[in-house]
Amino acid sequence: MDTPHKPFDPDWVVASVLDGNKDAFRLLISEYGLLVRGFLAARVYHLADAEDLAQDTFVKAYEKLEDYELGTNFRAWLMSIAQFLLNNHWRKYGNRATVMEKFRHDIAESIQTELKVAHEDMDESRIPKLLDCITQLPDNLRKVIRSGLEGEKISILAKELNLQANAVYQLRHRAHVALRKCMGQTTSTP
Amino acid sequence: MHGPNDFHSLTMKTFTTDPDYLDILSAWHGSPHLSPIRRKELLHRLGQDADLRTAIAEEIEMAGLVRAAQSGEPRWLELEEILSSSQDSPLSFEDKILSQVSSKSRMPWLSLLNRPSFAWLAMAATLVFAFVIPSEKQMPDGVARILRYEGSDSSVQKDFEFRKGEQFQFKDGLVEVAFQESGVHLIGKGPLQMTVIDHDRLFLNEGEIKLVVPPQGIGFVVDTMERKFVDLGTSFVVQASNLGSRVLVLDGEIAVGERDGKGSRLMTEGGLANFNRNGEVSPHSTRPSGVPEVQKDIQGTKLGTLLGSIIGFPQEEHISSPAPEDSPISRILLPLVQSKFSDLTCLNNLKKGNPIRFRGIAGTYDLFPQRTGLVPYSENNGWIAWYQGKVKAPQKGKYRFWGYADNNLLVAVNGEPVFEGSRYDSSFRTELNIPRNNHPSFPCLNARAGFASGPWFESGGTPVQIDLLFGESQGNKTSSLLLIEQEGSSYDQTYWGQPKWPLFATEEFSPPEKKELNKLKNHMEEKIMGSFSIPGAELWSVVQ
Repeated sequence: MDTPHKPFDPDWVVASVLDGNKDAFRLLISEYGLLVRGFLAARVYHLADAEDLAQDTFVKAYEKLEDYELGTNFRAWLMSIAQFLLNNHWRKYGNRATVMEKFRHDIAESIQTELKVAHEDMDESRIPKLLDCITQLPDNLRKVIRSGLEGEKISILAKELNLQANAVYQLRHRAHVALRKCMGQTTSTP
Repeated sequence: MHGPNDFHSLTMKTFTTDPDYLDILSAWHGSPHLSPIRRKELLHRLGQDADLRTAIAEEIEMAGLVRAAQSGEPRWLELEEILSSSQDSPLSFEDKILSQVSSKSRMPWLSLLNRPSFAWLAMAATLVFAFVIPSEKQMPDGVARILRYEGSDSSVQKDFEFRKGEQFQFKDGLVEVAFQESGVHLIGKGPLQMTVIDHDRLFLNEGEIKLVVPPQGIGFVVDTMERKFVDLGTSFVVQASNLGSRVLVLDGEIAVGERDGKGSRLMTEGGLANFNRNGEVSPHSTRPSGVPEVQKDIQGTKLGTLLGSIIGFPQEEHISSPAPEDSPISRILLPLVQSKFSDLTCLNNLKKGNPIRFRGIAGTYDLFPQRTGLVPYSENNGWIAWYQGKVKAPQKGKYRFWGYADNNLLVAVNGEPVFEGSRYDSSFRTELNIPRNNHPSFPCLNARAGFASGPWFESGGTPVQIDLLFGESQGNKTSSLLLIEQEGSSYDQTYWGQPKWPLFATEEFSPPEKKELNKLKNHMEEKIMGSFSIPGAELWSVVQ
């Protein structure tokens, strides 16, 4: 049985950092790192770019920490930095964007509100369970999920699994449903 | 407000067979083919259908999270450098936290930290031992045995057998231990202190161990103060000290879990992570090397040197391309490579910097365009240095290159590319199909991908024409290494098994240059577990 989640108080950590304990900032990275990386990895095609932007987000947050108003919402403040850097990235990259990249950007614009809601629905306290949950997926779903990493083309995976590309998206969706369920349960069985 | 689970499953049932939904996802994940009419249709549908927008958003959000979670620990050198400049030691930080915890009664999970470091280590090891070891009244002898010891500590004896719970420490040297039943082989480097908990588990207090786990040993566990490392069929290195622990996966896969059994994550070949007492951090970046630029003498046209020039776009301009992810400079130079470096027309509209000498490729090159007279140029479209000339190998034999560049790196011998070690967004990598092996367990300066290697090629009897392209795709943040291996030669290895191949170079390095290169080497060995060597007899000569 899972032990109850221990509350994390970002404001206390922020106060500690501002008091001169630089190392305490690592607690914020530990707590929100995956959330920020996931947010960016969902919106940036190349994972390496997402990781760079995530680092930039924490660097900027560290530099601007005094601007954070204690007692408000640290997560929202941090994500606003990530969104700002993402917008800059898009603006910079937009000059070189192809038709399909512009189309992806149009999609993102169209669903901006829904993306925000979807992100806010992610409870950071559940995220640490994600990898546990992935390990419990059936082999075919786990394989599809792992293919989401850098550069693996759906067409190649579809060929390997002897499926149509659309079927791979459907499998991935099933895997996501199973993972959400697993992350939301007290007993982690998808 | 809806919950993520119930809403998701209700809405998605109607969309998983919806062609619009599938086409949007396909486009989002990089599909290159959708007609303008189809794109317009899809955007129109998105604008009209709120449920579809929600379904797409949730799928994309989850895919991003899964992607990030599986990619292992980030390598954030820049951030680590900012944070590690603190004057506070971890212990004083712990003390400060605890003084506040006691007054505010917050963060009870840090309560163990309120002890002197070594006492804390010892107590934790004892606790782990107490909880992990089955309560057997009679423990069988010999769960592991020392096969070999090379060092000066006379207390370490070959064939010594460890019982369950036996502590083991030595000051220096290397020890090899075989675990019975699990068949796990451990190589430990002194100073080392560990507790052999059972045939399938140990607690590492201090030191560095490398484990090779055979199939029957899958599930072998290494505990440190910060994490629990569970082998899933692999070989990996764990380091532990009173500051934290570090793991590098050399082969296969491991699960890394919190000490309380929660939050495990998978790490695969090449994965490298640090865990300090206060959280998780890895001082490695996808960014440049993190070391200052080596100040090599690159200017001028000295006799007996491999010469080159730096090339870039003269001004900012949009370069249209069928492969927009690829760096414009690599794409525009493709005809040069494809023509075996004979068709120079692609250079017509490019700008050249000053003549430069090849002084090896090692480290950071952030200031390279300035130092070589290319500035002003189009920073957004990148630069490439092209070195060319006739060179002769130090010995007749077969050779192969090792290296990696962020972003473009290619070597051709007699016009034929023999090595390509570029990042994913280089046309050299995506268009030329040059044979390449990736070695993620051999960390390079800036890449999760680790070193790349090319095929063997013959050289030595007569001089060969060499063409070497190296550069950056966008901005001025780049780093790279280019090493060379001769077949049959033996090279010193790092403790974790990476051969220290020499830099590919055509001129001897001066003492100050060697000093800087050694600094880079030390940085790699200490921070990212990679390495290289400075060439002596391995230097290639330039033939005029």
